[in-house]
Amino acid sequence: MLKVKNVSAGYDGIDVLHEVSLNVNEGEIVSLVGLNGAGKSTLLKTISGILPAKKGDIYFDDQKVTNHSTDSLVKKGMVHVPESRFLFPALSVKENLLLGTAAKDNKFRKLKSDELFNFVFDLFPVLKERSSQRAGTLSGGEQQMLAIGRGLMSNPKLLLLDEPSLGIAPILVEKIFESLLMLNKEGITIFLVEQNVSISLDISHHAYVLDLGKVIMSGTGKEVLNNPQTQEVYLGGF
Amino acid sequence: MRKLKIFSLILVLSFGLLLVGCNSSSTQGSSGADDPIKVGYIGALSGGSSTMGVPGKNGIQLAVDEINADGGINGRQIELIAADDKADPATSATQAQKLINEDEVVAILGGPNSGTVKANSEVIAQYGVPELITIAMNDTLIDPNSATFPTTFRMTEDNSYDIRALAEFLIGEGHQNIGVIADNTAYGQSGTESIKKILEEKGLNVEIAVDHPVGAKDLTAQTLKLREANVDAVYVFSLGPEGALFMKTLKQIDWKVPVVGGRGLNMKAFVDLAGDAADGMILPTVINPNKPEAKEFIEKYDEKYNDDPTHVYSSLGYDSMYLLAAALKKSDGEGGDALIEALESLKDIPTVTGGMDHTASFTDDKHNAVNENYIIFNQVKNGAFEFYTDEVESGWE
Amino acid sequence: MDVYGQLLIAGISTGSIYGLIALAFLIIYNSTQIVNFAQGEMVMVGAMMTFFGLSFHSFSYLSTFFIVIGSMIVIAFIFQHVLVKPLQKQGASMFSIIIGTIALGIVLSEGMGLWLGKQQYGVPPIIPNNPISLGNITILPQNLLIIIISWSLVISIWYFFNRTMTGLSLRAVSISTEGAQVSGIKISRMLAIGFTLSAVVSGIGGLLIAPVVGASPYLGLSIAVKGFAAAILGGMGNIYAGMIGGIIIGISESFFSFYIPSYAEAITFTIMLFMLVVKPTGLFPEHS
Repeated sequence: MLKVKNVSAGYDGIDVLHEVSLNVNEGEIVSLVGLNGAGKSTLLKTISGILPAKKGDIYFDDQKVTNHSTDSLVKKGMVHVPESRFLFPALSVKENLLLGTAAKDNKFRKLKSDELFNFVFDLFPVLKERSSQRAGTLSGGEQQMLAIGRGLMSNPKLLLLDEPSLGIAPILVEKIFESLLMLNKEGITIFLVEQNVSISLDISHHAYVLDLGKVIMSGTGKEVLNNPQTQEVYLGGF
Repeated sequence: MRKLKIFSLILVLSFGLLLVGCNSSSTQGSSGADDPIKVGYIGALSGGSSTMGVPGKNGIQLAVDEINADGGINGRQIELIAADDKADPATSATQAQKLINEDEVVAILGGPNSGTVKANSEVIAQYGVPELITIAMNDTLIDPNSATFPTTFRMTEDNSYDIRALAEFLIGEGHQNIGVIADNTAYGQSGTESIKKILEEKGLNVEIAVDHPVGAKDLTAQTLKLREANVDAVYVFSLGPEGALFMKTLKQIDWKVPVVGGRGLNMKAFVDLAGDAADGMILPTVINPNKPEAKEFIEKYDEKYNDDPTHVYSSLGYDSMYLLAAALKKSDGEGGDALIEALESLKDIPTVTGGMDHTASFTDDKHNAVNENYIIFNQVKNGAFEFYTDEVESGWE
Repeated sequence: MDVYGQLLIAGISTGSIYGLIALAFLIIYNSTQIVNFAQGEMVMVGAMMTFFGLSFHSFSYLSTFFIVIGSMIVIAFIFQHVLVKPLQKQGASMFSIIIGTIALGIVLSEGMGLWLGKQQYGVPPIIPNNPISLGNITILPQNLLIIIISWSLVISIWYFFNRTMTGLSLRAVSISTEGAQVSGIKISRMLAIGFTLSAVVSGIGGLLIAPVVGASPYLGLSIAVKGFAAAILGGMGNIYAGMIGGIIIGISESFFSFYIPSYAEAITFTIMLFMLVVKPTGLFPEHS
C-alpha cells in the first residue's frame, strides 16, 4: 500500500533522512521505532507531503505520490495524525471533526448526519459527550482521540500516526491502542511512529528501526522486539 | 537575499510611479537671442487639487500655443515648463528652485493652492524672479508689507473680493444672521476669519461658524448646529465633496435656507455629488458665458482639452499667460527687474475672465490685476452651474 | 424633528462604513495575521471603479456592481500571487509582508491616478436624494442603503464562517495552518477565498461611499484609519466586533461634532487610545 524508496529529506539543506526505504502492506500495522532525532517524524511528514523529498520516491496504492500536496493525499486516503496533534482549540469538538472531511468537498449540512460521525463517536464515546465543547478544553488523551477521530472523518485507507501515546495517562494509552487494533480490523492500514516501543511492537505486524536517518533493522514486530540490540537501546536492557 | 530584491523591486516600482508625472521635460542650456523664452508653472498636477491645477496648466498652454503661432515674443517662442507640486508646500519650494536654477525660467506662473504659492513665492522672491499667481486666492499672498511683494503679482481676485461681493448680495436679499461652514484646515479657517471680519464690517452678523475635517463622511452634526442657531443664510466655504455633502444634508433635514458658496465649489465633482440638492445655491465665478471673448475661449478650450466644465481654472491660466506675455513684449524677453517693471506698467489688458469689458492693470503698489468689474454670480440649477447675474456689487475697496 | 435621533442615525450610517472596512481588514488579519495597510486603497479602487462604470461609461448600477466585483477579484489575485505568495516563498518575515502591503497601496493609488486621473470625481447616488422619514427623523436613501448593505454583509459573512464548510475551513487555517494541512484543507485555495472576500467587501464599501464623498485615488487613507480604529476598538481577534467598533466611533464622532465641534476627531481617537491602554484586546476580544 505504501512504498518508500531511497528517500532523502530534511530541513534547510541538512538531510535528516538518508535513502530510507520501507514498505507498508495493506491491512497491516507497521511500526517505526528509533531514538529521539532519528528522523521518524521527518519521514512521516515527507510521506504526507508536508516536507519535500529531496531524493527518492514514494508510492501509495502503486501510484507515485512523491511531493504531492497534503490535501490531495488526504483525498486519496492517506491521513497524517501529527505528534503535536494540531487541533483547532477555539473550535468545538464537532467542528474539529467536521474539518476532517474538508478534502471531500461535502456540504456542511449533509455532513452533520454523516455516518462517519457515528463511527468516530462509537470508537471514542467521550468525544460524543463533549461534542459541543471547545477542543482546547479537552485532556491530553481526549485531544489525541480527537486528532485520530478527525483523521478518520476523511475515511482513510492509511493512517500515519505520530507518537499517539505522548504525554498521555497510561490507562488512556491502552484505550487508544485498543482502538487502533479495532481500526485495523475494520481494514485501515496503520503506520505508527512510537517511543513506547514495547506496546507498539506488540501490536505490529512489521517494524523498522530508524537510527540517524537510516533504516538499521527490520522484521516482524516480535523479531524486532526480541532483538538484543533493541532490548538494550530501547527497553533499558531487561 | 532574493526576497530583499523582490521587496526592493516593489518599493522602487511604487516610488517610480510616484515620480511619474512629477516632472515634465526639463531642457538645459543658456538663453540666446533665438532661444525660446522659458516660463515656468508650478501647480498641483496630481492629487485632489489637480482638478484646478491641470486645467490651469492647459489654459496656459493654449495661450502659449496661440502666442507662438502669432510670432511669439518679438520673434522668440515661449516654452512652458510645468512642475507638479502635488499641493505640497515643500515640494512647491523645491520645484521653484529647480525651475529657476536648472531651467532658467524668466518668470513663474503660480498654481491653485494658496499654501504652496506662499511657500514657492518666498523662494522665488529671493532670486528676484517675477511670479504671477493664476488661481490661488488667499489675501495675504499679495501683501505690501511682505518681502515677497516686489516680485509677486496675481491675475485672479482674492478671497476678500468674493466675500465682499457675497456680503453685498446677502444684504440685498435682506439676510442678517449668517452661518459659516468650512473645513478645519488653514485654508478653511483663514477663510472663516475673513468672512467674519468682512461680513461684520458690512453690518451683518456671523451668528455661528462650524468646521469639519477634510474628507468628512457625514455633516449632520454641523448642519443641525447651524439650524439650531437659526441663521437666515449659510456661507459654505468648504470644498467640493464636503460642500456637496452639506447640501445633501440640508435636503435631508428639509431645511430650506438660502446658501452662498465660495468660488472653489465651481467643480463638476460638486454638482455630480450634490445632484439636485445644491439647486438654488449662489456662488461667485470669473467667467461670464454672455461675454463674447469668454464664449470664444470656452469653444477653443473645450475643443482641445474639455477637462474644466466650469472653465474657471483654465481661463485664469489663459489670462495669466497673456498678461505675462504682454509684459515680456515690453521687456523684450528679459526677466528680473526689467520684467517686474514691465508688469507694473501694464494697463488695461483685456481678459476673457471677468465682467463685460473687464481689463487687467498693475502699478507699482497694485499687484492684483483685477478691477471693480470682475466677478459674476452663478446659480446651481438642476445639478448644473447657470449664469445668474453679472450685476454684482463690486467687491473692490 | 429630533436632534438626537438625527445624530444617532448619522453616526450609525458612517459607523457602518467604518465597520465594513474593519470587517474586510479583519478577514485578512484573522486568516493570515497580515495587517493589510492596502485595505483603504482597496476601498478606493472600489470607489474609482464605481466612477469608471457610472460616470465614465454610463453603465447601469448593476453592470457597475459587476465591474467593481470583477476588479476586486483581480486585486485579490494580485495581493496573493504578486505580493504575499512570493514573499512567503522566500521566507520573508511578516514585517516585510506588511511593508509590502503599504507598497501595494501606493501602487494602487498611483496606478489608478495614472489611469483615470488624479482628481476628485463626483458619483451619482444609487437612489435619488429624496429623504425618507422615519417617524420624526429623516435619512437619505443612500445612507439607509449603506446601513442595510453593511449589516447584511456582516450577517452573510458570519453565516459563511460559521455555517459553511469553506468558512469553517478558513477559520481552521487561521487557527492552525499545520492542522488545516493535515485535515486535508487546501491552504492556498483558502487564502485565495479569504483575500477575495476581503477585497470584495472593500469594493462594496467603495461602491457605497463613492456617492457620499466622491471618488479619488487618494481617498484610501482617511477611510482606512477609521476602519483600523474600528477594528482595534472592537477587538482584532473578532471578525464581527469591528462592526460594533465602527458604530461606536461613528456615533461618538456624530455627537461630539455637535457638542464639542472642533475636538470631535481628537476625542474619538483619545477614547480609542484609552481603550487600547485599558483593554488592549478590544471590547469583544473573543476569538471567533
